[in-house]
Amino acid sequence: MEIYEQLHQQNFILQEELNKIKQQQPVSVHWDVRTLLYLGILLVTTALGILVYENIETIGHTAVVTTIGVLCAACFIYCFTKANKYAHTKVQSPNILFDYILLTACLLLLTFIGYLQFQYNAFGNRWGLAVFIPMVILFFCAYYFDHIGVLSIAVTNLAAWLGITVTPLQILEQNNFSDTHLIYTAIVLGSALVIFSIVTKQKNIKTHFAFTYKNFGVHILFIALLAAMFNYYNIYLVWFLVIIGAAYLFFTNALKENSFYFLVITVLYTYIAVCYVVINILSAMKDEGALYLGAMYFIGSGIGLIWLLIRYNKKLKHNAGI
Amino acid sequence: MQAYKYKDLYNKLVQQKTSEAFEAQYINADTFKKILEAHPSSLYTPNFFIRIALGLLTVVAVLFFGLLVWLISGADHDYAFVALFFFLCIVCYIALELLIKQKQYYNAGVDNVLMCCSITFLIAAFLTEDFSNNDIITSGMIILFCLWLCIRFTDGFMAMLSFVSLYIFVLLLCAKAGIAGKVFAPFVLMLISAVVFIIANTLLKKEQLLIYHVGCRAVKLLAIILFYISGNYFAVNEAGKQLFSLNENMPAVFAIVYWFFTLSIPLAYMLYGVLKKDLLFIRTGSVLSIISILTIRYYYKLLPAEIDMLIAGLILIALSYALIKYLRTPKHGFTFQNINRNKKDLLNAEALIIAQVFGKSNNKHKGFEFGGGSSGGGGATGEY
Repeated sequence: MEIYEQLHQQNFILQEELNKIKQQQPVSVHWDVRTLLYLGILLVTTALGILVYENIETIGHTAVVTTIGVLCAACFIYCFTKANKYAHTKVQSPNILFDYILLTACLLLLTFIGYLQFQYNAFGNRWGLAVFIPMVILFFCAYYFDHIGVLSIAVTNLAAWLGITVTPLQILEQNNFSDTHLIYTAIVLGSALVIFSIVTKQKNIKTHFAFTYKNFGVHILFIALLAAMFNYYNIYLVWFLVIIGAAYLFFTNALKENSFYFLVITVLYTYIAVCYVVINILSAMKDEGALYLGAMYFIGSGIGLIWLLIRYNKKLKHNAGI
Repeated sequence: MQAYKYKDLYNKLVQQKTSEAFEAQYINADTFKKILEAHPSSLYTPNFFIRIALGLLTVVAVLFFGLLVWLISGADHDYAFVALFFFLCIVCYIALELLIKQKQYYNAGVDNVLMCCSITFLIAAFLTEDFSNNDIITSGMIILFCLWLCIRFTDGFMAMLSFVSLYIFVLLLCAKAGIAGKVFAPFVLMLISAVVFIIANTLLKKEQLLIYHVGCRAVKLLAIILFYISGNYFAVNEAGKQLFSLNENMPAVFAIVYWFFTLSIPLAYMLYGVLKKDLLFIRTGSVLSIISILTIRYYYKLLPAEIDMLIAGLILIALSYALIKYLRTPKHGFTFQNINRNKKDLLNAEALIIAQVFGKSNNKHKGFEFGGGSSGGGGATGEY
């Protein structure tokens, strides 16, 4: 408050503006209430899941499947009747609750199809189909209703269909990176997602989705490339060159698009790759001096990168987003 | 006293405050532009992601610097390690002072990490060697050191750390003070929290301490949380068993008092927040009431967990739905409307203005750095 008064005394702020600031404005609890709502939905859906799991013997499978199916259908019907018309640009959702009901519908759909497959073997031995069908529906919903959250679930499902776990917390634990087939799949998927984000931007179809695609793509690609480098020990320098190439592309792109976020993750992934190569070379020396050299390398490279990042931070325009 | 120039700190604050006012559309773009133009600040605060990366890289550099010094010194017994840690603590502090003097880093990741490293090395130096009451002496030293860092670098996190050390210091003292100390420790701790809260609140009103407002507010928040924890039944009961090795649960008279605190404090916070229109108290009260419910559940399991979750979830959905409907038009000073709805557009506008303004003043004052305009960075972080 004092600052505004001082600015007013120095004739920067007009009297009417100062009055506006001093006037008791209503306090906005927008995000607080939204958080409560989200928490409530999370609690109810989780509790229902546990209840079904624990009481399956007494309730009976048919009853459970029917209930989930009916709930899911009800949510979808609500969404279809309320939704605004599809457009290539960003479409506003009709009301606050709409987004949450759509999310509930999509989550229930996943449970429903998973349950059908698990209990009734609805898709037989074609496990892929049980993931593929919800994935298609999710992508459709994401585009038709314009929901980035659903899009993220859809991309996660796409990766699952290819056999990769990409949820942020499990990406390192649950994937077997010594499986060469998985590494190549992940490299292809990561590149495809990045390319797709560029294409959608050029074609002007839901350009606000591009970040989600690119974000998933860049992380999957870099982690897969690093895994490839650690795994193919004999030709790790070849993979190192591939990483440097990819890093160069993302780095220049981040500078062009003024994206601090992609600049930072590109630099950090590349730093891991460089450190791996340096440690490899040092350990090949089989000499006590290597320890000293290593410590000096980390000090020097750390300070050097700090200097570099600060330099590029100043270069990037200040209207940069993420 | 401060490592930064007062003018820089003040101007940075002006930039932040006017950005807020501009975002809420209290002042127009012209006023905003004029104020920014007249209040340049040379403090360097980069974008949020850059800050994280700089922090991580600083950790790497400091760790390996420590390793290198250890290799060179060949320290192999406790006293040598004490000396080593003291040396590293001093080196971190000197590096911090020099970097701030030359580059004006202000919450740039590098300075935050160097402060934390300096404290960590100091704690390590004190705790390596066993001497009598070393935990009390250590926490006492950390109170003073953090307070100094807070004053010198106007850092809110250091203010909080200093308060936490004070809290631990008093707790350890109480543990020493015999049976009376142990029994009354929770009340002493509540008293300390209340006193710190009052001090922070008084300092917040002082105009000459404008640049410490962030720190004071952080301490206030921590004080109301610690006040609750000091009286929480679970915390008191378990701390009694663990720290003071009291046997089994506390006597019933005390139990009633602590259950009263556990249940009433969050409600009191929320009520106070609603009456005073203070979101800090409403939010803290809400989070603490969840902890109170978990505390009750820990001792009295009335229903299975999933039923509790279901009921809580349904209540939350009903409550938030009712609030959305009720606060559609502002009532009693609260509204559901999102005041910063056009944050992104405003941010872009703000950033454009900043770029324009500082592009200009760049020509006027020679040697003034473009990076000074990073008040936009403070706002841009809210985007992700």
